[in-house]
Amino acid sequence: MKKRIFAAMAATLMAATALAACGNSSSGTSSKENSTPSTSESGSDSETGEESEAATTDAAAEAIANRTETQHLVVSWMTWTGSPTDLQMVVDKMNELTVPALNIDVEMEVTDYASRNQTLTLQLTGGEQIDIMSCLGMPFANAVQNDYLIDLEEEDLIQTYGQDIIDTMGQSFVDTCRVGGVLYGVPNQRDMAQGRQAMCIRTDYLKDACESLGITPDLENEVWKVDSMDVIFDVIKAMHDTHPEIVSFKPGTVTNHMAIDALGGNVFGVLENWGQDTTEVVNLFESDTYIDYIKEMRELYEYGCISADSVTDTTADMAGAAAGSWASYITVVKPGSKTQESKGTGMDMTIVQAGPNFLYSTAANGMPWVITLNTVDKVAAMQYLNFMYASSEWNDLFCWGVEGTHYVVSDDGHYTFPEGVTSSTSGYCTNVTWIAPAQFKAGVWEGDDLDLWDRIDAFNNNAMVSNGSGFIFDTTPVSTQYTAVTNVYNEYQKSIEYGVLDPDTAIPEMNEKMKTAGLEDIIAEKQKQFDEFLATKN
Amino acid sequence: MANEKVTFKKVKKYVPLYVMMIPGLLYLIINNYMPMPGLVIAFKTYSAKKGIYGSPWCGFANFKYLFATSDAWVITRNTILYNVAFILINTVLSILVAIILSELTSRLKKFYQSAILLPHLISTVIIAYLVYGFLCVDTGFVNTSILAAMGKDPVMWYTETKYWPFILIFVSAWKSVGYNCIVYLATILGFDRAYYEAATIDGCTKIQQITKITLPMLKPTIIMLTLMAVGRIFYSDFGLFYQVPMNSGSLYPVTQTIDTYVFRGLLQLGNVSMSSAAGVYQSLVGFVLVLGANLAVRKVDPESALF
Amino acid sequence: MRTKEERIFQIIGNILMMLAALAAIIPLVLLVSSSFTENNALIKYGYRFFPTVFSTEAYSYVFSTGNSVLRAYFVSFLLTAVGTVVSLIITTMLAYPLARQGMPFRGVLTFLVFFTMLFNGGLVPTYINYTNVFHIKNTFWAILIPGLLMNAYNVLLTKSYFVTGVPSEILEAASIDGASEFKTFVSIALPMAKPIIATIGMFVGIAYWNDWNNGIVYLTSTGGSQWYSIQSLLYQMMNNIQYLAQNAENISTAQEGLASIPAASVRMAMAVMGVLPIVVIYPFIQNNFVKGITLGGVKG
Repeated sequence: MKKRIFAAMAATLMAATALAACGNSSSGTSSKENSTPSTSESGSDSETGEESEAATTDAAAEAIANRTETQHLVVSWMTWTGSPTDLQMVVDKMNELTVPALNIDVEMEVTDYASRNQTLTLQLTGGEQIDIMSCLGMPFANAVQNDYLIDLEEEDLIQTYGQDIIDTMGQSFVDTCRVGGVLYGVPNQRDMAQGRQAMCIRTDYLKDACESLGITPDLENEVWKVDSMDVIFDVIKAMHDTHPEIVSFKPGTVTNHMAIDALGGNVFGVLENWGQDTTEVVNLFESDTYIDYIKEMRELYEYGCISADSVTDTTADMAGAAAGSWASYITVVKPGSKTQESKGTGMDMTIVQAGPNFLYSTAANGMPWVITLNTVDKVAAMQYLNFMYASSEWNDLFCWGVEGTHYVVSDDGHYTFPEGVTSSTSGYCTNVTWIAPAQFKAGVWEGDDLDLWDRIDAFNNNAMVSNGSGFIFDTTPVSTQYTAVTNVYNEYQKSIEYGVLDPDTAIPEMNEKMKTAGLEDIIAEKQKQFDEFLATKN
Repeated sequence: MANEKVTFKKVKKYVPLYVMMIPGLLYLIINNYMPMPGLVIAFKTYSAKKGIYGSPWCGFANFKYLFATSDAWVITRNTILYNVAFILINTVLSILVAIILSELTSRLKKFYQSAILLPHLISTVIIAYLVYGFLCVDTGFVNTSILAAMGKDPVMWYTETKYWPFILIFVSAWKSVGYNCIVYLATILGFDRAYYEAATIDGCTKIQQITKITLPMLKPTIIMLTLMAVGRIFYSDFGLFYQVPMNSGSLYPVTQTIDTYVFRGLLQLGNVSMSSAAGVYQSLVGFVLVLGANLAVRKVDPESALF
Repeated sequence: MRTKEERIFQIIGNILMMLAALAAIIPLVLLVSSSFTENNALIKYGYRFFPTVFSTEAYSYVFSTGNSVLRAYFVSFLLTAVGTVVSLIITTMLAYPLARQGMPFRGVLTFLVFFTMLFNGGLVPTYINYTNVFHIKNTFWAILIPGLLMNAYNVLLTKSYFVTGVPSEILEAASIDGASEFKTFVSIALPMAKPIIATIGMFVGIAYWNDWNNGIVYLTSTGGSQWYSIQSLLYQMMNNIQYLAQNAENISTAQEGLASIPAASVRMAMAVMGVLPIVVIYPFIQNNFVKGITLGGVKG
């Protein structure tokens, strides 16, 4: 009796939940077979006029003409703090562009940064409609591994409806979003390369330190380029000598100071020498690159340059510098860095750089725009995505809001706040213009040089390119080892890398534990995937 | 109850009672039982395209990472030992506080009760920063004020493992005793005062009243709360073990528990199946333990058993 | 002899409780003090019992972010009130029959209740259930219902109180007098169970007040922010500041305004704002709580 009731209940519940889970799955493709070619217009009128008219193919026009009703899409992206107050006003303006051009209107789902990964996981597994999203906040590789994304070349989607994307980004950058040969996303226009082996140092302390060393820092240019990290280490020590009252160095991601490419986005298996002339995936923690650098850090720690609190201190680098807790910290360089750091800390800061400007393996595909499996109409989604890369008006709206309300154009062509509006009173000040699909098609904000976009473009294109560029590591086959090794690394990372532990004993100990946890399996799997990647690339 | 015969007549007599239970049971069905089949995800290689029920089975592959580390033993030991310590210490302190509060005649009684409940209302992240305020090496209150005044060397609190079992137990008690004592206090105040009056007339001392009347009458409550705590013995208060030690790597040998291990391992992977597997493992162990404990209780004292 | 013992007990008891109360309050002084400290001073000199440099910038930041703090307070109060009342009703109505000896299926049903304490479907299936079957996303139901409305722990506590505190003879006498089951429950069992009702009410109230999770899971920033409770709002702000601080180096796109958030002191101010209303209201609640407990105690 009891048993039967149990069984009956369980069955009902199963059925109910199963239904719930199925409810969403059948919404896929839409009509695209009819004819009636119509106007060839995709609403793209860039100031630079760089995109091709070929973008609007017959197929695209056909798809637009066949849309008897306006297609409603959902686009998901993020800001640091969630939805801007005036979001709907901006979206309405966007729809005024796309309804006539594509017969598509959208709804924007804007999440905050901290909860984005969880929110997206729930929405995507729960079958909620998200057609297009920015993969920032949910790592691209995870989204691919969980099957959340669709193949953009399925039925030649991107070739047929997304030509403007390819024209805007260039095929080689688009190709960085391939995983196992399949194109799952498209990168966006932003600073992709990073100036490596760089430090941000308070200029006043730097001057005193350099004086005692008898060297002259370059304070005129945006970046003081030095020959090697040794100069930087000397400066840090000299700062401690001249100003022992302040912590001279706050370490952070020290692997940004090493001449490696953290292949596929993590340091378990790297390419040495910035990924130049090598395709061998090696164990970073046994390499001379790592050991030598850590020995320097140990020396700095024992010299008194690094605080013992740095392993637990969670204060942001800039905030700590602003408060006068420390005089320098690790950074990565891009055009505009000096201004940005000085503004952020409220002090005159100098950027020192010893390494190259570097296009690492996951530089371009860090935050691609993607189409998710929950899309209601992938053709419409691709057409809208194409519009996002083609239209300068759309990108102006996305980055800066509505003209007259959120920004005005000054006489020299800069965008700036209207009278009486500030960053805290503006209803649309997202601070995330760099996730825009085609930021370079939008205006330049007051305070930056008008040629900023050109400089960033040049910066990307002239950077040293790793052999691993575009490689994404699929952790699925080694997920067990990956969790275990991550835990070992977390345990030792800061105390070793900030010089708190004696590297002669601690590094071998960490290696030992990592190997037990399966580090070699991860490296072997990464090598295997990397070889396949290289084979398809050539 | 096993030998009771269920007859239609008997059931009919209780119909109004069954009706009363409907909202509650319905809620349990909606909130707990309907999502429960989703647990199968722990045994599958999840793919969003195929959905939870359509994804292929993979046996126990998702559980492997829980045991793949050489620290599996340390993690399990930490989880269990801390929980045992928390159960013992927090229960004893809560009962002690409840008894004192119930006996006090002072007007400050209410103030005491409010004050000790306050820590429960503060989120663990904030507690972590307050602890940091005391223990920070350079500016912390303990190092700069207390140890310096005593002429002692500053202690590197966040790298020395030996202090942390005590710190964590203290923080846990600080946070939960004020809350946990409410149940005991309510139960004690619910006791029939006649027993105490009779005892007083018989010349019993206060201590005797407590040991002879209060504690025996509290026994069922204590047993029930402990049984429920045993069921969660493989779980740990994530904030206490992750935030309060400031995620300091050197402290892992004494602060790593199953929950923190899972969190740290899966943070970057975002693997739904693997995190679900951890939950299944924790629940299952707790379930077995609590069934065993309940069985033992039923043998000794059937009245106090949970079911 | 007895009075002397009694006096000693009172003195020791007062001393112990005073120590406990101080241990609870002293760190909170640190909290309040640091929320009124200038951010840079807080980072540089650490947390102090008196503000090193007094400032209210943290509070003005929280109020200036455009988030409606007052609205969120209102949502919190509404949520706590509604949640506590509904929860008490369904919890006692479930616990009471479970406490009745002789009721068929009592063991099975108790076990079914207990089972939910150990096993749950996990976040993803629960979310799918609530959003796809019951469509509560971005509504008031989203913060009220999931997880909090009733839990096995409270049901079992209440049940055990009914078993020990409400003698079955009294209930049987009532039913012989012809009172219906429901009437017996309302007019006899419930009044006798006041202590546990007060206790559970307190637990549920605190749980609702402290909850931020439902807001984060079931409300979206774009569509449901009008239902953010104060804790959801504060949690979200705090989390974002923390994430930002930790990732600033890697994303390195902090623009105007971002670095000017007084992160350290804002965190403390938020904690104060979450607790303050309870500190203000608690004495009133406590009066009723103690009354509830002691009224129930006088019986027979």
